[in-house]
Amino acid sequence: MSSRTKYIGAVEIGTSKVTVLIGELSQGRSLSIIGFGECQSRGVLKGAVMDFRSASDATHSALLAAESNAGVRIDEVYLAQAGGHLDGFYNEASVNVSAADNMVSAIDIDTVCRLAKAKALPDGRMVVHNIRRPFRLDGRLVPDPEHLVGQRLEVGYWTVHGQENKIADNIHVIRGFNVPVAELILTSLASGTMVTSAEDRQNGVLVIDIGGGTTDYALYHDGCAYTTGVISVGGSHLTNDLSLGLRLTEGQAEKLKLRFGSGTVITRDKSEKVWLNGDFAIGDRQFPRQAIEQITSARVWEIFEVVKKKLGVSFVPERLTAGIVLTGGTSKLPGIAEAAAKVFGVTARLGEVPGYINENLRDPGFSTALGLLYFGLNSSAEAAVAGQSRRRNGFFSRLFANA
Amino acid sequence: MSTHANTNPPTRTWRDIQQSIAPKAMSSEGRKRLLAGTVKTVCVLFGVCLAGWGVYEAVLTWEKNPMAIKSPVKSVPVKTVNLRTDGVLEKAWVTRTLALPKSAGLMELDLQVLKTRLLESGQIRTVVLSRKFPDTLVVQIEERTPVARVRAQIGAALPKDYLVARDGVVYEGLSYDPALIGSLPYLGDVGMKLSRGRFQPIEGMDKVAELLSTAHVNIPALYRNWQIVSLARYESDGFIIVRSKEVKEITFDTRESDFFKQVALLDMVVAEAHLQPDRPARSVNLAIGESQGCAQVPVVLETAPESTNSPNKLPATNARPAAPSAHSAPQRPVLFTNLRLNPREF
Repeated sequence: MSSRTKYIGAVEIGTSKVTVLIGELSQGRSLSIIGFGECQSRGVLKGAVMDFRSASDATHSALLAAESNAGVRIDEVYLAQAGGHLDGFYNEASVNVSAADNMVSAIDIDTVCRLAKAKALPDGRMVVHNIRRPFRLDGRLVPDPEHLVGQRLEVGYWTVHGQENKIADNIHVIRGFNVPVAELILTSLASGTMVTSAEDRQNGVLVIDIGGGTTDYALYHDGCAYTTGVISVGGSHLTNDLSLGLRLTEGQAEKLKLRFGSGTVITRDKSEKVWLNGDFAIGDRQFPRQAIEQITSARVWEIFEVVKKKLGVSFVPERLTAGIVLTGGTSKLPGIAEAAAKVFGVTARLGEVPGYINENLRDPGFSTALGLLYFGLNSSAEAAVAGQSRRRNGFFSRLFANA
Repeated sequence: MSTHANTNPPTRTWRDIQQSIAPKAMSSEGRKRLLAGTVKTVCVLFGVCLAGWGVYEAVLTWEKNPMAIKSPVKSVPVKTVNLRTDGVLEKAWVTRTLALPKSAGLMELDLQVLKTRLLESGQIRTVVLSRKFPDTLVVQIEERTPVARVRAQIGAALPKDYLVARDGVVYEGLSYDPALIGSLPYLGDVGMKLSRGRFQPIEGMDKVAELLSTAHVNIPALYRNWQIVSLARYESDGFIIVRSKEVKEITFDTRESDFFKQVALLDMVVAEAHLQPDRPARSVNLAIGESQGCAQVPVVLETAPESTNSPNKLPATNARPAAPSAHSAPQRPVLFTNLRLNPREF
């Protein structure tokens, strides 16, 4: 490995599967996806590690598969964070501009940001993200207020926090492979960045990532994430509902869900039946298709209702010009976009990753891992730019800057 | 919101979580990686320590015994001295002068000292010593070529002949053909100075060498009879005075850029003088009489039979250089006029 090349791993430890992608980061500016590993998840419930050993084994298997696929060793990991324990709140602060000429200085910005983030958390909770919303200078939105003139500077932060021990468990699973965790990124932010364009995020979009055990969502306005959240309901609940409603094993229910599940009831004929296996073997039996669709659509409807309820006043249909984008493994369910559109009253569509992504990785289940790599690339590029900036702001540069 | 200073304790973020975990909690692959990382770190540390220790030992040895570093390898003793020279020096003399210790290895030799030893003999202009492993010392020598002789004595020792090279260096000639040495003219009226047991280089030898080489090439018959080249008037007038068997005193002017013309005139004068065998030329002054297109050379002819005492006697030149020989009585010179040079004669 050359000194300017780094191999980063994007790891999503989900409830149903663990996904690992390996990216080759060259010069901190370009990234190539060179390895992929996937393993059925164990020891993870609703996005949180319940059995450390099982979760470690599953994750390490996926990591090993990815490393062997790429033929390199991972230098650091960008880890997706999900789980029902995650929560968020909004806090804002404002300061009077200190300069006599009312020009906003870096000190004013630093002060208002520090105040907006200075919200105490309950014991056992720790911050995962502090997502800044746009600055407001005398009420007008500004991306960067420095050197602008105004009297009152305001900023708000959406703070995502989680339970300390669950976050630590997640990190320790990776550390058990003796690889450092470079960044912890909320699942909804990772996938949201990947399946929406900057224009979508500017116009307003709601990204819903329906995974196996959890559903993550992120609401974007004005180019930044306004609200995020996680609900502990996902695709596995659809399976569970089918299992209970049709008296099936979990495996049989999963099969039926994948083959006949739907986000809306499409079948009008109550007598239409489908075979469980279709091989006419002992134990193979028929089920009414409408019943399957009713069970799955009810749960999907409920998921969207819960998301809408959790969004509360933040959800304003008029401000969601780009509508709703669905991603995650469960978003492959037929009719799910229509269900979302009905629940939220805005347009909904399935998320698509950019065209430059390889065909094999275009499945919605990979959007989070791809988003993690995207974050890795961006943070490296920012570090590179910061390095150049530091060089540019060296002693001699500053000396001659005023000449 | 309040703009008061924040008094809350700093909020904890996920980065505050200790990422280090006990090896027991790692998977087998994790432990393998940890072991590999530890081994790598230990190796790097060991390498750094080893390098540091090596530097420390080297510094210590350098301070205590630099020779141990200079000759770190006990090589095979020098068996062969390979001599390459453009002159006449012999290998036996070189070996004798180098005086290499019998058991000295090639790396133990101080080439600078050996070089100085060789250069003490003025006959060597440059010397390059190089080691050719495993056991050969290569000596490449560039020698001086003698252009004249000088007789001098140091202290109470008997007068001795030395050789003078084009650059004025005075040295004892070794291994030269005696016939070659015998054909060289003597230098006369030279002020020689001793410094640290050696003669200092003689000033003006470049001009003398130029004159002698011009004469040797163009008038070899006359040159063979040249006996003494006097530098008595070199510093004051820029004249070189040559005493030969045929003409007792020939004066050359070094300020002239070209000796060729003067040598040519001399040849013509001597040829003219031979037409009067009863009155041979006593002195020829080539330093004056030059004019546009022709030359007037003052020549003093003999009036009486050649006396036995003066020009054949060699001057003893040393710290007490011999005085230029005095003329017994001034004589009126005969002018050889309208001497026109014909280049085709040369």
